[in-house]
Amino acid sequence: MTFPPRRFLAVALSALTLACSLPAQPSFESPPPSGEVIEDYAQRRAAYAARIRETFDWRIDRLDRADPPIKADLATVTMLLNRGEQIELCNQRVLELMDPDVVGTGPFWMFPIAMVAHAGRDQLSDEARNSIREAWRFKRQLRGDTENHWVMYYASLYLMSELYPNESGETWYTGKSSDENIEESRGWLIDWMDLTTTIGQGEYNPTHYISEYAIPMIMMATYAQDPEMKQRGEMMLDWLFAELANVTLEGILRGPNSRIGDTAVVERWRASASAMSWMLFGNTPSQAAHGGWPAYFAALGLHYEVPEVIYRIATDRSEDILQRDRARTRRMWRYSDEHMPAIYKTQYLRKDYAVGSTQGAVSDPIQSHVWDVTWREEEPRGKHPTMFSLHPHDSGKVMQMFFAVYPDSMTVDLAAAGKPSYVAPDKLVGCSPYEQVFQDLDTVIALYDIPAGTNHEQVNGFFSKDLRDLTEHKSGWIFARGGDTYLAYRPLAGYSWIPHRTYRSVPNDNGYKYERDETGSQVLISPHAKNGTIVQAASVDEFASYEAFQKAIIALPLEFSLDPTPTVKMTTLRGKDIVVTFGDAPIVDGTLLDYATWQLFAGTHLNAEIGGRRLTISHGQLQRVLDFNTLTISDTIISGK
Amino acid sequence: MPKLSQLIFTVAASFVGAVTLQAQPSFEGPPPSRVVVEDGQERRTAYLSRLGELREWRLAQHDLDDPASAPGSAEIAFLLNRNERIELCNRRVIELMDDYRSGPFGMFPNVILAYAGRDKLSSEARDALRDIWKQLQLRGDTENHWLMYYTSLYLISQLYPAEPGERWFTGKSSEENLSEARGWLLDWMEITTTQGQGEYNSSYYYGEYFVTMLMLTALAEDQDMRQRGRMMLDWFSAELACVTLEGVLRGPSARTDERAIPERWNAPVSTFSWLFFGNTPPFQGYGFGVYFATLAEHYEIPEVIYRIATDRRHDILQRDRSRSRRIWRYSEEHMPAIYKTQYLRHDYAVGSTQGRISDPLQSHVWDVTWREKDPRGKHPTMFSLHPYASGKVMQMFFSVYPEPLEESLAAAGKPSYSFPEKILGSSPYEKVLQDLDTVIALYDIEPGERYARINGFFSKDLQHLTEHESGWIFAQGGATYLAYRPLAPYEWIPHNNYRRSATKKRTYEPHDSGGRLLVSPYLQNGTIVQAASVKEFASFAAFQRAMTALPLEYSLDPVPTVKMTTLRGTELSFTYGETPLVNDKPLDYTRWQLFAGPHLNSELGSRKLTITHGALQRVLDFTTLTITNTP
Repeated sequence: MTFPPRRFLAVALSALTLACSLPAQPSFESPPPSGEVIEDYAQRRAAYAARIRETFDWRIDRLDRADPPIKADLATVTMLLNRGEQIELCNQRVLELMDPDVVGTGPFWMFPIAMVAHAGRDQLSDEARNSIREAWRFKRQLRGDTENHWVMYYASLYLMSELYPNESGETWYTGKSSDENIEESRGWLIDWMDLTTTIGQGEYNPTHYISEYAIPMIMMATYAQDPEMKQRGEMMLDWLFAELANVTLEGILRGPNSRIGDTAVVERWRASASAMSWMLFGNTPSQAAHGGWPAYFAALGLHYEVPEVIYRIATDRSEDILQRDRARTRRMWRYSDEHMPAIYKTQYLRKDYAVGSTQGAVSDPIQSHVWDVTWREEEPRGKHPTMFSLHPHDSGKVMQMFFAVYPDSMTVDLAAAGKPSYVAPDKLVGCSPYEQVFQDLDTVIALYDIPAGTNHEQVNGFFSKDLRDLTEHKSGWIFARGGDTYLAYRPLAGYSWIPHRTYRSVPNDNGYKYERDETGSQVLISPHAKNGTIVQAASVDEFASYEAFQKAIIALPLEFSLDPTPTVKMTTLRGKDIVVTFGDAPIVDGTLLDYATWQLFAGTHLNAEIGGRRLTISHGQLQRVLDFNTLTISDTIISGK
Repeated sequence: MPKLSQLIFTVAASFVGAVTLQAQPSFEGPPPSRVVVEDGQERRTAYLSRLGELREWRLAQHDLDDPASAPGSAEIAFLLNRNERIELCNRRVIELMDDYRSGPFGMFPNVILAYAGRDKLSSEARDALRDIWKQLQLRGDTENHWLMYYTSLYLISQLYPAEPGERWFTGKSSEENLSEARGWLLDWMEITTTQGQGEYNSSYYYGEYFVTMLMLTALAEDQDMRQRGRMMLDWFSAELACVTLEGVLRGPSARTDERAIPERWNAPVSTFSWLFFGNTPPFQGYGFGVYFATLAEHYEIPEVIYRIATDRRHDILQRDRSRSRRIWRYSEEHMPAIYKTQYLRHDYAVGSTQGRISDPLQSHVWDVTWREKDPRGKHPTMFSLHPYASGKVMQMFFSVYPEPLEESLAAAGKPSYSFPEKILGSSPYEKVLQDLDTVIALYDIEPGERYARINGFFSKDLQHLTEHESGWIFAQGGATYLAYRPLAPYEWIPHNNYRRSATKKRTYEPHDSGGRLLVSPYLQNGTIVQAASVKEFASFAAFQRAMTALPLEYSLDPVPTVKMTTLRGTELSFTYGETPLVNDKPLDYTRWQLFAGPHLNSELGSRKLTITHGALQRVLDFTTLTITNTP
């Protein structure tokens, strides 16, 4: 998180502040891409290179055209160095940023400067290179407190120590020699890869943090001298992007998410992950300023080639995708017998919509998003194509489970750290220990059993401004249509409506500050501690009419009760008999759902056994296996498929 | 063969566009730096830059604004890919198809154009391309001919699916063509990945293999065939990387020619080294590389292969297997094994087969070649051979009438076949043993054979040639010391190159190259060659002393036999017709694998090649159609 690292939050903010306004940005402002699969390898590769080039051109071009003028950030400096252009400007910027009075701290400072140090090793002036080296001597670097912080921290330390080998501890802020830094960094990075490839990521499917993993990994793939670390970087990129490809629909990341923001949870497209999809797959518009951090990926983007199998998973959707995968929570330091309990993710993606969920547990204390139904919009920009409910939970104790800092100021500091809604009762981001979710294909049942006295004793359901034909049916179902998807939402307790209000960032000298604006969407507020939501989705083309869909839903066998604990017994639109009781294992067609048998990945495109360190990525006849036991990448054509 | 004169003419016609009108940058510029490009992105950029040079130069040979300009198929494909001058492309496609000659050399450019122009050419031009597939197409008689034939038939049948037999020269439907072509291609890959190629290490024909496999990679719709194409490209480029020194192909060759034998660089294969590895100048006009360039973005040289070609920190010793051309008569075996030894060091390379008929006309059995900073115009090679010519042997391999065969060879680009002073070809009376940088070649020529002599090649670029009283001939080539020991008396004659006649079509004329031939007119004969780096010895005299001090016994009667200790301390005992002894152990060729050495390893029959350089490893497994990369 955020609290001690205020200082490096400032570094992150200042870097991203540069990413505002300015000249026209084709991929952000043009009509959405065609969505056509590029069959030809050379064309695919050329299109990828063209997107990288657009990112270079736009960032470099704006140095001259921005009004008011802006200074080059380090992504742009890296791009200039890669092109061998404006080297004097690069020297000057490096010297400015390495001024001892302004040198930053933390992973968001470290990785850009490590990137520049490598890109400029043969081009920057001695003075500029020395200033970088000197900063790594005198400035203590904070390590941060999240998974992505540590990955960036250690990848940067590793690469800087490789760049300056055989130097003594006095020349490094760590007090350790180059070799010792390398050993420590390598050890941590391999441990992280081991964890990720055996029990999954803690920051799984993040809307904004995908680039924080992709950047250090492409840095490893590009700059690591040790072939093993280079290969690990390449393999982790494939691993991350295979998962990204698999849980996006037309380039937009779908739920659930370990970490998400107040905007992206409703406007699904507005996330860094979309900038990465654009860059890698070309199947959604990019973000303003190419998403900020993803520009650093672009700076080294030509060192990576998207494997065809991954490209096709993202773009070539001839069949539905059903994945049942495992991840893990953020690390728990207190009040838990388990360090990183398992998260069980179900994701079902079809042509028109996607349904995704975890089992409902506290995963990340602030930013988790547990489940949703999202639909495809021809033009995703500005749309809120999603439906879900949650218990708006906040708790000092839960935060103390995950953070090591003093509790007193935590909730107060959250807004300044970019998480403004944490304590708001109408919030739409977050998980709760009092929510339990079950998903079967495109049916979701979320049950809530909130102890009295908990903040807040209500369930919030999100209803988009982009829904059409919203109907509060006398049966108790709320019907609506989003894009080409019919939706049925069944609240299990009484409710009322309030306007949805988003958070708008306003200028501030010290961290983030927000004001709130109504969006046109609504929030269903159900102020009952024992509660529940059922959502069923279907494609418009499955039914003769909207009425036919409603009739089919109403005809489904459904029984539920809320006392003593919420329980639902129903038959889904897909004919599954489901019994879900809060606190008990769900029963599907008479069989208990046993999460303990779930693998790391199991589904249409991704498969990996728990503890296996081996991911099989498939699409049609194409198969790529990433095996971290042997550090092997294998590409196979499966005959007969 | 005579039938193939039509084919050969097609090849020649396809290169008419390659006449040098303007400077060809890499061909004429200084040799490349040979610094290893460590950065993957820079490597790719450099590859694309070379590709761009090739295309620009080829297009610049034609005034495209001239209504009579006549760019060839490759240039038309470049323009189509760029979506430029489509009207010119329409005109030229129709003209090229009007002048179309049957056979694989016409077929594959047609397919490249058909795909490049499928959405761009006029219907008239597309019809012209399609119509030739109703005319009889000759299949040719070599491995590369059939490969081009079937790759082309496969891809064109894929482009025009579900058409009946009346629409095809084969009389078969699109699906039947596809099935037949696929079957042959898979069979060829099976043979290549289990027993090796018949046209191994060919100085001219690598291009035909690279182009066809790239066509499959880029154009096949079937993922299986695309992957096979990609894997075969890796297979061949890995072998090429491994048997080149600074981009120049070394050692034995299934098929080469009178020009490339002495001037090793001067062969179309050098264009592929240039394009893939950037480590030698390309061939004049780029040769078959121009067709590769029509689709070259579809391939990327894997780093491990790039490094084998360019990053030479250690000597390479490969003991590999191939096979002879198919034998139709006078042999119990269809495709006998060829055992190749290749030893490449910083300054020189030594390579050989065991000595036997491999290809009846164009084989090159062994040589020592050395590194020249600029290989252009240099003859950096030393070897000997029995100049063998035989109608019977040609009948072993060819199915055409024997009478006109020899006469037609000059017209088919093989002018020296029946000349006693030739330096190209293999002989059934030559047996070769190589151990590292020592070669012993023994000859026991049947009385009555056409030429009772041995020819040894001595380059114009040798320095300090010394006929020593010990019987050794010493010389220096580049930074390599060479010792050549003829086992029978000899005399010197000038060496002649063969150049195409300026006045008489399809004929060649001899030109003094400046080099010499050692002619030893004895049936029972032999040659010993030992190479070493200059830096291994304090002086040339020290090298000579070391050589003359080596234990050496030999005799020629009743059969040639040599017993010696090499400069590397290995004891060799080699008698013509018997299994060689190395340090008293019989050399058992039957245990040789398809590839065995520091960079390439493959068990015989395994369909699996492991390519290694330092920590990098790539495995091509045709059993599972899998490419596996491990650092």
